[in-house]
Amino acid sequence: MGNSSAALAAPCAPVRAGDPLLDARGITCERGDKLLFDRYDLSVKSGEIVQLAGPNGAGKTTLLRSICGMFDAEIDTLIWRGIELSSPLEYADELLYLGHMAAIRPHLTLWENLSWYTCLSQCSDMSKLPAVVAEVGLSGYELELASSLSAGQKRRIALARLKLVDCRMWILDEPFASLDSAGVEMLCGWIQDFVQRGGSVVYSTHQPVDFANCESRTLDIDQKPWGYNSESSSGSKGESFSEPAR
Amino acid sequence: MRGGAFRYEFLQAYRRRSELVNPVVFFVMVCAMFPLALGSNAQLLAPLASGIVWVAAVLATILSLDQMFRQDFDDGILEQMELSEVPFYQIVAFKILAHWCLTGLPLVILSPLLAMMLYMPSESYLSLIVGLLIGTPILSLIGAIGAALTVKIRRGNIVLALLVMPLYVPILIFGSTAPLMAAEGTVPAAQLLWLGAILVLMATLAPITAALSLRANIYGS
Amino acid sequence: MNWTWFHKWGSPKWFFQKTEALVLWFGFLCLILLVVGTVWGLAFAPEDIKQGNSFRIFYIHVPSAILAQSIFMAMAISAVVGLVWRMKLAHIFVQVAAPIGASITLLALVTGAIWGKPTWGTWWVWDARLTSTLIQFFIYLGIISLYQSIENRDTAYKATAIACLVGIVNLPIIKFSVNWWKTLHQPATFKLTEAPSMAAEMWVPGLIMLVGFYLFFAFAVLVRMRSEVLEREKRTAWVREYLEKKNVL
Repeated sequence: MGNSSAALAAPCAPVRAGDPLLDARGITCERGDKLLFDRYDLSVKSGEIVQLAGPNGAGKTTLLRSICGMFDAEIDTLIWRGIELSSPLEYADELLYLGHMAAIRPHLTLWENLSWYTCLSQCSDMSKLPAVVAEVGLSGYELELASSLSAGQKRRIALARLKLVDCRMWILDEPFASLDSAGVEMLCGWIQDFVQRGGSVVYSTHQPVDFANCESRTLDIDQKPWGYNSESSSGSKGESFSEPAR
Repeated sequence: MRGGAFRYEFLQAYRRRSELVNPVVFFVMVCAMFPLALGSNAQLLAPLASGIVWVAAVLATILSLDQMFRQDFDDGILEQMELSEVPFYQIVAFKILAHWCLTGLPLVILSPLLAMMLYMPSESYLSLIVGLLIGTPILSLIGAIGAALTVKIRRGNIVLALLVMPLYVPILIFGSTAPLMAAEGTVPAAQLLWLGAILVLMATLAPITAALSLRANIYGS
Repeated sequence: MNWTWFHKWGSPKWFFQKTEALVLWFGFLCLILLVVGTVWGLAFAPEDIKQGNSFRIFYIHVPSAILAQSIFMAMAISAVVGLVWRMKLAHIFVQVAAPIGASITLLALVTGAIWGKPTWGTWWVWDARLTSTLIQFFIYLGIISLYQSIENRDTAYKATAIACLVGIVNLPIIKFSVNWWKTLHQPATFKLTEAPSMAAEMWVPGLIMLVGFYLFFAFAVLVRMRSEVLEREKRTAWVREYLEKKNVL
C-alpha cells in the first residue's frame, strides 16, 4: 500500500496553501443496516481546518475513517492532489490519523512507543524525539512503561506523533477529549502552526473551537433519521446497480 | 526503518513473555496428566507417547493464540500499522514469527523431556523433534488466521478453538505418526515432507489471509 | 459478455421478486422427487444380495453425503463472489447455507452410523470417509459459531467468507491425511458404495433422491435468503409495500 503513492511527489514535499488536497465525491457509508451517508461530498484544501460537528451517532467517526481508508465506504470519485485514486489507502502515508484509541503499547516505554512510531513512516524524524517529549510535558517519563502512565499522559503521547511525523493532513477524532485546558491550548497552537505551513486538518468535536487567523469551516453532520429514504435497497454496491434496465 | 518496526514486535512479545510462557507450562502439565489417568505402565504409554505430546502441543498452541492480535487490536495499534508504509501482511508475518518463537519453540525444546517421561522409544526422538519443529510453525500460522478472524469477539477463545481445531487434523496426523514409523525402524520421510509442504503453503497464504481478516475487523470497528 | 444478469442478482429487491415463484416450484418438485424416491427406494427397489434390506439407507446416506460436499463448494464459490465483487447476496448465501450444510452433514453421519451397525457390527467405525465427514461437520460448526459471535454484520459476513475459503483450501489436505492415517493404522475396510456394479432398479431411485436433495437445498436456501433479505431491507420502501400488500403491516 505504501509504494502505490510513488506517482505522487515525495510525501514530505512542501505544499502551497489553497491548493485542493482531497476531493471525495459520493461517499456512501453503511453501518449495519443503516445508511449513514448517501453520496456525501467532502473536499479539503491545503491550509484549511474542517470541523465536523454533530450529535453522537451521526457518523463523524465513520466519515473520518472512510477518508483514511479504515471504513469500507463507497467513494465514487476520489481525488488526492489532482490525481484520481481508487482507495484512500493509496495516500494513507501522507496523512496522520488519531482515533479514539491511543495506539500505545502498554508493555513498551514512552520512548520505545515513540520510536516505534517513527519506524512506521519514512517522513518521521528520530532526532526530534527529545524536543517533542519535552513539548508535550513528559520529560522524565521516557523510561516509564506506558501502562504506568495516566490517561491524560497517554493522550499526550498519542498527540506527540503529530510533531514527529511530517504529513499533509491530520485526521483527528475528538482530539480534545480527556485533555486539560493547557493541553487544549497546546493542541490548538499546533493545529494553527500546521495549517500555516500548508497542512490541512479534519477533526470531529462536540465543542467547536475558534481558530483566530486560520481558515476554518464547520460541517454539520446531522443526518436525517434512518428513514425509508432510498427507493430500492440500502446496499451500497448493490444499490449502484440495483435497478435493472428495463 | 522496516527492520526497526519489526524489532518492536519481538520486544513487546518478550515483555509479555509470562503470558506466552503459560501455555508451555500447560503443555507440560497436560502431558503429565496422561500417565496419571492411564497408569504408568511403560508398555501402554510408549506407543501413545507421540500422540499425547502432539495433542498437548495442539491444545497449548490453541490456548496461546487468542493473545496474538487481541491487545494490539484493542489498543488501536493494528489500525496505525495498517495505515503505515510497512505492508500490513509483513507486520502480521512478524507477529506470527514472534508468537512461534515464544510458544512453539519452547514446546519443541521441552518435547524430548516429555517423550522420556512417557517412555517413548529412543529411535522416535529425532522424528518427534523434527516433526514438532516443522509442525508448530504451521500451528501458529493457521492459528493466526483464526485469531485474526475472532479478534473482535469478546471471549473469542472458544470460537477460535472450534474454528482452528479441525484445520489442525492433518498436522496432528502427520506429526504423531512419524515417531511411530521411526519406532518400527522406517524413516518417516513422507510424513515430514508432507509437513514441510503444508508449512510452505501456509507460510505463503496465512499472513495474507490473517491480514485480510484483521482488515475486515478494522473496517467494522 | 453481458454482465447485467450478474448485477441484477446483486440487487436484493430484484432477487426477492424473481424468486417468489421459484421457491414454490423448487418446493413442489423436491417434495415429489423425495416422495417418489423414498417409496421406490424403500418399497420397490430389489434387495441387496450381501446386505439385505439394510442397504436401503443408501438412498438417504449417499445423497446427503454428496450434497454436504457440494454445499461446502457452493459456499466457497459464493464467498469468493462476496469478497471480490462485494455482492451482499453472496454473503447472505454463505451464512444461510452453512446451517443447512451442517444439518445435511450430520444426516450423512447419522445414516452412516446406522448403516454401520448391521454391516460392521458397531455404530461408529473410524472409516476414512466417515472421519473426514466428521471433520467437515466440525468445520461447518466453526463457521457457524464464528458468524454468530461477531456482532457487526458486515464484519461477520467477511469473516465467514474468509473462514470458508480457508476451510476449502484445507479440506483436500484433511481428506488426504485421513486416508493416509487409515492405511497406516489398518487395512482398507469394506467400501460403502459400490455404485458401478449396481443394477439400474437400484440406482435410479438413488438418482431421484439425489436430485430431490439438491432441490431441497435450493428450496431451503431460497426461503432463508428471502427472509434474510426482508430483514435486512426492512427500512426500504419496497419492503413496506410488500408487507402492506400481504396485510402484515
